[in-house]
Amino acid sequence: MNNITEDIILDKYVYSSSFILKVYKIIKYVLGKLSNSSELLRICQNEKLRETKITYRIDQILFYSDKLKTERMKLLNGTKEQLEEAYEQILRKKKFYDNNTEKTAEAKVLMKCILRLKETYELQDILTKKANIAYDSNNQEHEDKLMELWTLLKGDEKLNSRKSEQWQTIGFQGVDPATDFRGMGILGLEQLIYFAQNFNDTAKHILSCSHHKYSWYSFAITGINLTALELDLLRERHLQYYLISHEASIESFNEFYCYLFTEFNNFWFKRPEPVTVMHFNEVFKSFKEKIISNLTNQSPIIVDTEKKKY
Amino acid sequence: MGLLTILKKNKLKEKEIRLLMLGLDNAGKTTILKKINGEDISTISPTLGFNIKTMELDGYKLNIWDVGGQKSIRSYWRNYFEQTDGLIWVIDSADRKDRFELCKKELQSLLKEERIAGASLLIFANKQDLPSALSKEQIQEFLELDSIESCHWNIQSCSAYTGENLVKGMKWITNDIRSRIFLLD
Repeated sequence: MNNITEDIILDKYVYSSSFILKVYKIIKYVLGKLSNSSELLRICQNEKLRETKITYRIDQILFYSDKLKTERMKLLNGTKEQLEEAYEQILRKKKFYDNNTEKTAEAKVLMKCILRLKETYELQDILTKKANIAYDSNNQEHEDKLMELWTLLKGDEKLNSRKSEQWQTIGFQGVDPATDFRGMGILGLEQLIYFAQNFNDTAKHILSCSHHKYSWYSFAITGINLTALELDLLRERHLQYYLISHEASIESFNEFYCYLFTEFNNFWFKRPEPVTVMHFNEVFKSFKEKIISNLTNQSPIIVDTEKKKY
Repeated sequence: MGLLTILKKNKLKEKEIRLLMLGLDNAGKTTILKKINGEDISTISPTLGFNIKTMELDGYKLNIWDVGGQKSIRSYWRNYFEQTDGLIWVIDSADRKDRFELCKKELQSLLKEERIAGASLLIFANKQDLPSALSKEQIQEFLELDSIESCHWNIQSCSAYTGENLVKGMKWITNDIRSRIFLLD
């Protein structure tokens, strides 16, 4: 079990309730007036905290602060000039100045952490752009990727033709996967490939689990739904701690996808009563809740490669 | 007055209508549902199982069941027939020829089902925003809709992408169900 730290308590009990958040803000305001300090400054001063934790706390403060709304926009989505401007404003507002002298060490910590945070928001843009690239059958690169997925999962089995009923054996809907990627575009395909490539045995095992006689589900379509789920988690800021503690990169995002896939398979087959594909949305909703709770508790994210029999 | 009529009258008092939305995969069922509800339609993924949405229209509460259209799920469709007041059949008007054949076959076998025989049928000729889309007249002819005698039907061209004519279609089916239930008195 993880240690329950301040950031986890805040996520679980304070930020989740607008009433408690209000009370918390009043207390912070009074403390700030009394000590001529600020929460942000205290965090940047705290030498016991790891940089990951400091960065995550700063993300929380920026997100829930009413007074730093414009600064947050400029910091995370703006140009370099806007970033510097907002940074300067925060230093002033949040008491990083002592009689007009800047507290240099703390200010440096703040800047370093802001730059790390910025990466997580940039990743969101990059991934949204990828999801917006629709799968295009006339694009040879896209077609090659699709064939790569087939080979990774099916090995030597040959596709009889480009349009084939065989696609359904890896969980596409019909004879042509092209229309299945929908709003997840090329990102949906690339994530399936990442999983099949980097966890080949596990992916094949899960594919065979998905062919269960009663509780079958469609492997590839589930994968596309998992991409949509992961993008939601990212946009709703649930992935922030994970991305800060690893690295805000496409690779980290893809690793998390593999974690999601293996966790989903376990979750699906461990329902109190066996389920069918018609329960999919219901199960998927409670799965999302479970993952959010794992993320909030900062549980370790490990891809389960054990081949369980279902 | 039979039991069914009493049931239907009670239902009318509550002003609740149950609609079942079916069609081949990638016809645009979930997108229609989300667009009507004013939700984001840019992040849709294929439906496994079903979605339900409740919406208000002209003082009626519509419960819309959107069931996945992939081949392996179609055998589950029958589980949703019970107490369905109206059927919404969604078509990708820009689909391939062989898919239109399949669409015709699935619709015809659906209409043979006793449990939905009396329901109102709305056909959404979706994706009219695409240049290659067939017109609703062409689709009407191809699907031989004029030979349908078992129920009230209407074909409505629409685009889930732009939202065009979606509400118009929903109004038709709501009105038709309303007048049909009154006629039973």
